[in-house]
Amino acid sequence: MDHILYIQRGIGGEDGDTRIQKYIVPRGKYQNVLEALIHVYENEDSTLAFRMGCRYKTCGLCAMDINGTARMACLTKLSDEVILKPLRNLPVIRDLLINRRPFFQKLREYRIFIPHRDLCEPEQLQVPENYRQLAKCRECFCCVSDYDAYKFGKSDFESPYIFVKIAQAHYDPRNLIDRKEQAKKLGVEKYRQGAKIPCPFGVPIFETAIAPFLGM
Amino acid sequence: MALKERTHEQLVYDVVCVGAGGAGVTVAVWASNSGLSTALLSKEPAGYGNTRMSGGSIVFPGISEGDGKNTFYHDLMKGGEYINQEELVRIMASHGAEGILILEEFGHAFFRDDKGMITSDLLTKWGGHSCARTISSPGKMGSLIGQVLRGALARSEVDLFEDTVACRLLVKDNRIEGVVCLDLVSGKVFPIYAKAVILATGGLGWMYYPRTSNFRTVCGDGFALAFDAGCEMIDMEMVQFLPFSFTHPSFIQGIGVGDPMAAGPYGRLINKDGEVVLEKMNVLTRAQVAKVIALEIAKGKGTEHGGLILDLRGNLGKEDGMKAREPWVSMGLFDPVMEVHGIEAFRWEKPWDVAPTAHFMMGGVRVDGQGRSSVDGLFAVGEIRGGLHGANRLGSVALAEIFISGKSTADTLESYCKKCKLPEPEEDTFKKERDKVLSLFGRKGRIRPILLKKGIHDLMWETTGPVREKMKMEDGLAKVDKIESMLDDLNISPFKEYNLEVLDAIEAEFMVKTAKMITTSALVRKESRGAHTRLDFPDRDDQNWLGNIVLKQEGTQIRWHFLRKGN
Repeated sequence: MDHILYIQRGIGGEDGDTRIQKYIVPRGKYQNVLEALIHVYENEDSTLAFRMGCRYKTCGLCAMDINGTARMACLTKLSDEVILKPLRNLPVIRDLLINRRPFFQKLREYRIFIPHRDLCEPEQLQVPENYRQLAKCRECFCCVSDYDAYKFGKSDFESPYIFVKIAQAHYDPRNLIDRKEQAKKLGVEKYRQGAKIPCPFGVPIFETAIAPFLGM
Repeated sequence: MALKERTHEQLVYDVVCVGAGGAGVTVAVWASNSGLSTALLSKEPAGYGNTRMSGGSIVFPGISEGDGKNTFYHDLMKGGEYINQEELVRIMASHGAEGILILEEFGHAFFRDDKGMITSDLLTKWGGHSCARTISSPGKMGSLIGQVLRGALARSEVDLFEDTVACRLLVKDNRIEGVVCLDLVSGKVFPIYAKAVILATGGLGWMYYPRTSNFRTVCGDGFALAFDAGCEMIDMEMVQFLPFSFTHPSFIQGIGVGDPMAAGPYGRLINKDGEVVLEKMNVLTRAQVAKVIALEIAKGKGTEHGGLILDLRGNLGKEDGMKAREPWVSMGLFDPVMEVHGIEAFRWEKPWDVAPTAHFMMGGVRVDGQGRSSVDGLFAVGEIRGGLHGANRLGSVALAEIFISGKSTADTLESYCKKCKLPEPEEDTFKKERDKVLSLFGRKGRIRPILLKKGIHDLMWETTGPVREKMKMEDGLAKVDKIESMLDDLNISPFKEYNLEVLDAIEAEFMVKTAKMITTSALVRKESRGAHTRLDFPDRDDQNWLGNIVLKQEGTQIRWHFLRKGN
């Protein structure tokens, strides 16, 4: 039996218009979902829009909703039937492509960076363990997609991804901004219920990016 | 200054940079910080490309005992087999230690010891380097570097245009005027006019897909843009093949495993008949090892997976052997070995197949020490520059190059922009280029553009892979011409929002031009040197070929001339 891919096509959202399109991918040739998508694109339908970059585990761009869970297409084994939709809770351009442009604006707005310094030699620097854990983040947005309490453009608090970024800044020894205060302003309190926030790259999001800001 | 609502009508900047990897972000941020209005274009979001996939290791010269300016200079020249551009090498040898400072100022963190310092104990000695001069990051840190670059951009006043393709450079009387841009999200084509345009588009590994370690977007755009603008291109035959990449399964074919240093002092390469083909690889350059593997495979002695066996067991239980293994494990570069070939392979207890993969482009735009090309106002930074590495690049120098070249060009831009006037936008020229791009939407030909790209991918390995010969190259040129003619017969869907077929068509045209440049240059050089290996001219010939092949566009032709060393 060949593999069947059910892929959401079109533009979603309230005014959106989507349909599910079915594609067949030959059995025995491919290992993961990304390969199957590339096969569809090259051989069947290059109107299909999706992102990819590094092909394996590094860049985070091929994240999508696979059979109901946000995962990396390059890391997900190709099963008999696969349902592919764009990441949830995020603005969709079309098909499997989400719009990443608003996230640069947020980096600026929330000043997710460290201050200017004049360097003539490397600084004395020791990064804490939490920094190392948070450094595993690939900005794939799976944590946003599977956290259904949050909706981009609608929620009055920020997404798990933003708290990861704020925590990265917080644990950077060179940071000068009160990130605890910032996290409070951006609604970290809404996460107190302690729902698990998944991460395909193993970032312990609740423990390192939420709990410390809740004084837990 | 907040980002203004852009209407795409009259965008004029001091500086516009094409490409937002390490080099592009560096030049844009530094130019903006010096007071220049700066725009930065990126096909994907900013901070991706090959920088996002890098292993995060960079040279930090001058720290180890015996490592001075001259030592580094000589290592670079020797690695490049003496056809490097000396001015670029001098600058790298003098300023090489600044790369780490630029990136850490942006927000990255390289390894430290317990006291928080970088000492010579933390440095490793990579293939071709005569001493330990490379510092790594904790973990495979390309992703973190990419995020640090985004942070540096956010901290600056650069106007960022993501999901935006540079389709063509606008040039008049050998002077740059601006860039024709396609906004992928909306399908709109708009001009950006500028006093200075910087190319920071990286390499071209994806042309060799799947036998590449590169990111999908890195398919050689900048080389074609520069060539069409009238730039002199140099060393276009010098494509670096990283010797160790996965041969199988298909999803990971071409993904890089490491530099020859990763083989340790006791690693061996074995052919299908069990014969040891190469040992003591850890001190050899990438070109030397890739050449051996490619020649052995060309002889028919490769494994069923199209590679050689990399046997690292000799390192186990030996102190120097295990010391060589350590940085590669901590950088995370061996993780895929575990997932693909199992835990024993990961522990070096079981050998696995490796083959060369297209990794880096030594050649590119011919520039001076400040990144100036032969077109007035057009600069190049990072991998798109040609000449620093000559015929072969040493590991961990590429990361230094992107930051140092980015800053050095930015330093020049302030005075350059002060001296020149803003260009007078030439509506008609832009409109002609705009209409060409818009005419791609809804083309009613017969061939989907992705198939043309696949055609190029398929022929690149055979034509200009790690082993080359005259007939295959001439045949390759004929095939590229045929693919080029098919660009007139494209079938492309009409819709505006993120039309990947339009992007494929644009990239296919760039790839055709770049493939011709690589092949033409490779045909001209009738010797083997560094990464360029010819079966029909297997030896190095300093008498005739100690120098560089320079290409320039003349009408529809590629004209070449040879720049002999010492002239």
